[in-house]
Amino acid sequence: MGGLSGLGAQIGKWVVAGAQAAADNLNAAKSGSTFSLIAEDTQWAPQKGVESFNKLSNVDHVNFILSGGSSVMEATAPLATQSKTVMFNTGAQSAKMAGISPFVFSVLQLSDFDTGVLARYAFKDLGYKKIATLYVNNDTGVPNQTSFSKAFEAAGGQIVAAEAFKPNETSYGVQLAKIRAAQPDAIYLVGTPAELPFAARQARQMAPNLPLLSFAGIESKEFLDAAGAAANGIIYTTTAYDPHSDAQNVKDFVAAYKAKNNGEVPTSPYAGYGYDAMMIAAAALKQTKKFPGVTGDNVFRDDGTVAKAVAIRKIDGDHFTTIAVIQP
Amino acid sequence: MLFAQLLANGIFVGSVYALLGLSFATIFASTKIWHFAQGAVYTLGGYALLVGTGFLHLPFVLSIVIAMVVCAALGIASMQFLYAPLRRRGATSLVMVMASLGVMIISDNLLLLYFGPSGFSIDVAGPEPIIVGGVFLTGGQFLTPFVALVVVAIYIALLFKTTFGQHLRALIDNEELLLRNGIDTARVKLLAFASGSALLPIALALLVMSGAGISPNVGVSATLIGAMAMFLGGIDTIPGAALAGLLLGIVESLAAFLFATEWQTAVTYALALVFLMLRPTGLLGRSLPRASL
Amino acid sequence: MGTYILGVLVTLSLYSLLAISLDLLIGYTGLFTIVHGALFGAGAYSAGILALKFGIGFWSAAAVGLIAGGLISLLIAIPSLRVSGHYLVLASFGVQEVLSGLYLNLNITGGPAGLRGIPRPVIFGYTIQSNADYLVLYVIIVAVMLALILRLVRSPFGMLLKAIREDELAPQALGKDVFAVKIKAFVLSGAIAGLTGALYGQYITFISPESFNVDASIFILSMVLIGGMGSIYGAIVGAAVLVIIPELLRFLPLDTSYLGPTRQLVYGAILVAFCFLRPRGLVGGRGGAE
Repeated sequence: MGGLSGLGAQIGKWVVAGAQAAADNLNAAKSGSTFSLIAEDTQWAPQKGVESFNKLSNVDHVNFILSGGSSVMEATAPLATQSKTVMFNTGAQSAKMAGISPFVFSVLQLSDFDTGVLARYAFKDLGYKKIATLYVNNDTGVPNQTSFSKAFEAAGGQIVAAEAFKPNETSYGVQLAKIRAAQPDAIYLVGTPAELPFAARQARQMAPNLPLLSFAGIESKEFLDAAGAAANGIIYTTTAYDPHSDAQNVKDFVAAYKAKNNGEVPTSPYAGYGYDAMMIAAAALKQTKKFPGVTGDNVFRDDGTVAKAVAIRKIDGDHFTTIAVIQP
Repeated sequence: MLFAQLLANGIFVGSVYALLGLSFATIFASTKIWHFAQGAVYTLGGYALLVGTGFLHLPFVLSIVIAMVVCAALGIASMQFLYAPLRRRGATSLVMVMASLGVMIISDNLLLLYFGPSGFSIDVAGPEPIIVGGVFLTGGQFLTPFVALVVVAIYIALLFKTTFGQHLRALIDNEELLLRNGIDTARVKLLAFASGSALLPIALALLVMSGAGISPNVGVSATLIGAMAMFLGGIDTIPGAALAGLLLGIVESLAAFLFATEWQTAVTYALALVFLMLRPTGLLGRSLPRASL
Repeated sequence: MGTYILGVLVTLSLYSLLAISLDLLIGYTGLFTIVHGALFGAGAYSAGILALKFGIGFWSAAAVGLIAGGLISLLIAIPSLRVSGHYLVLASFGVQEVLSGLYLNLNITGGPAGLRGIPRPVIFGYTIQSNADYLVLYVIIVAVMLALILRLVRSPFGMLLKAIREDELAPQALGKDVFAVKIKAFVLSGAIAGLTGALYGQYITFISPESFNVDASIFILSMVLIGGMGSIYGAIVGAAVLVIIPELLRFLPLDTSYLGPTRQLVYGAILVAFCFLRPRGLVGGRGGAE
C-alpha cells in the first residue's frame, strides 16, 4: 500500500511498479509459489493507512505488506505487531522507523545514515563551511533536515538558515530571500517530487551561483525532466543503486520493469525498494539474513533497520554520476 | 536588505494574488456563487499552457491567449452545466460548493491519470536578472508587477467604462432592478464567469516564468488565495480584491522577516483575522451581508 | 473480513459524531464554518499529550478532549460572531490554518512526526484492543451522545437554534439573547468534535497534523452536506455514504498503475452525482436556496 493519489503519488507509483516487476519475475521463474500484488491507496494519510492495512490483512489475507510514508508507518506498525503481519518499509526514512515493530523491516536506509555521509562529505571534501537548508515541512523534510544539520554541525560546519516550505508549494521567493541574506556556501534541499524540481529551478534563478545538495528522493528521470538545466551539478546521497549495473539481478529487474512500463527504465531507487521487498519476502521462505538486492546488500539489524551502502552522486546533464560509495 | 528583498518578493507574489482576487471576486460578487471549481479551471489553464508551449512549442504569449480562451470557456461551462442546473433543482449554496469540490477532484485526477503525478516546467526565456538597490530580482519577478498592473488597470477600466461592466457592478447590489429594466442577467453572469476565468492563466503564466510548476495540485491554493483576497477586499466590490491581493502577498512575505518561514501561513491568517475583526467590511467594501447562507 | 468490517464501523462511528457536531452548527443554527478539522485535532492533541505525559485514563482523556474542543470553539466564537455570514467562513478558515500551523510546528505536538504510542483505553482493568472492543465502546458513547443531542434539538433550545437560522431578527425582537445562544451552539459543537478527537487518538494510537487540516474540515463538511443539513440522522447517513463508498471502491478490479486516481475520480463523480440527484441532501431537512 502506498500513497497513490495526492501528495507523494509519484513515489507510490514507483514502489508499486517495482514490486509488480518482482512479482512478474518470481512468477516467470516458477519457484513453486505464485506471487500477486494487491494495491491500496493510503493517500499518505495515517487514517487511510489503517483502513488499507485492515483491508489487505483481513480481507485479502495477504502474506506481507509493503508500505511507506512515515506517518502511515507509525499508524500501522501497532497493527502489524498485533496481527503478526510482516510489513516492509519501502519509503519512510524518518529515524523513528527504527524499532517501530518487530514485524516491520526497512528496505531503505533511514535518513540519519545517508545525511550524515553527505554532511561530512560537504564539509570535508567540498569545503562548504556554511549551509542553508531548504526543506518541506512534513515527515520527509523535517527528519532529513534535522539529521543533516546535526551531522554538519558535528563535522564542524554551521547551518546559517533553515527555511521550510509547505507541501505543494509553488513559490519559494521568501525562503530564498532569507537564504540569500544568510550568505551560505551551499543549499541543502529536501522535498517531495511535487516541489523538488521547482524549488531547484527557483533556487538556481534566485541564487545562481550557489551549489545545491539534496537527498535520495531526487534521483529520478522525472526530476531531471521537470527541473531541466537546474538539475545539473546537484550532489546528493542515495542507496548505491544503479539501473545500468551489470549485476544479473539488476538486469532482470530492469527488464521486467520496462516490460510493464512502456520501456521506461526504473531510474528511481523507490522502484528498487519495491522490487527488493518482494524478493526478500520470497527469499524469506528460504530464511536468509543477508539478501543481495538490486538496491544493494540488505543486512537486517535487530531493530528492523537495514545496513546498506550509500552512494554520493552528482547530476551531470542528464545522467547520475557516482562520486563515491560508502559502506555502513 | 533582507527586508527590501522580502518586500520585493511580496510585491511580486502580491501582483499575482491581485489577479487571483479579481478573478474570484468578479464571479462571487456578481453571482454569489462559491466557485471552488475555479481550482479546476486554473489547473486546466496551466495544462493548456503546457501543451501550447511545452509540447507544441508555440510562443509563450500565444499559449497564454489560447489558455485564456480555454479558461473562459470552462468558466462558462461551469455555470451552464454545473451551477445553473443545480440552482434550477433548488440546490442550496452549500450543495453547490460540494458539487464544485467534486468537480475539482474529478479534474485533478483526470489530469493525474493522463499526465502523471509529476509536475512539469516550462522554460520561458525571460529578461535577465537585475539588481535594484541591493535587491536581487529575476527577470520574471521584475516584470510581473508591471504586467499585473497593466492587466488590472485594463480590467478595472472595462469594469467601469463598458456597458457589461456597469451591468456587472449593478448586479452586485441589486439583481431585481436589472431584471426589471429588461436586462438579461443570466447573460451578464455568464460573461462574469468568462472574464473572471480568463484572468487565471495570466496569473499562472507569471508564476511559471519565475519557476513555478504545472501539476494537478496547483488549483486549490490559488482558489483559496483568491477567496481570501476577495474577503479582505470587500465582498461587494471587485477592485478591492486586487488591492487586497497585493497587500496579502506583501504581508505574507514580510511575515517571514519576523517569524520563521514555517509560521508564515499561520501568521498571515492570524493577521487577516485581526484585520477582519477591526474592519469587517474589508478594505473597500460597503456593507455587511446578511447572515444567511 | 470480520476485523476489516468492524474497523470500517469504528471509523464510521467516529465520523458520525463529527458530522453531527458540525450539523448542529451549520444545519441547525445556520452558522457555516470550516474549522472542525482543527477542533477535532484540538481534542486529539490535548487528550494525546496528557495521556502520554501524565498517563491519564480513558474517561479523563475523553473529558479533556471535550473541554479542549469546547474551549477553542469559545475562543473562536466570541470574536468571530461579530462578523456574519460569509465573513464567518473566512474567519473560521483562518483559525483552521492558524491551528494547523500550531499542530505542525510546535514541539509539544511532535511537529510533522506527530505523537505515537498513545495508550489504548483501559476500562475497569480491561484493555480495549480489537476492533470489536473499540466498536462496542464507541458505539455506546455515540449512542449516548446521540440521545442527548436529539433531546437538545427537540427542546426549546433547539427550536431557538432553528429560529436563528431562519431569521436572526425574529428571536431578537422577542427578547432572546441571540449572541449567547450562538456561543452555546459553537461550544457544544466544538466540544463534541474535541471528544471525537480524543477517541480517534486512542484508536489509531498515533496522531499527526495532516489528519486535522483543511482537507479534514472539508471532509466533515461534505458529510453534512450530503446527508442533509438540519437533520441529525441525515448527518449520520452522510457519514455512512462518505466512509463506505471509498471502501466499496477498494473492491473494484483496477490495474495497480492507475488505481489511486481512478478511485478518486469515481469518488468525485459520486459526489457531484449526489448533488444533482438530491440537491437538498439525502435525508434533507432544510430547504430553500441561499
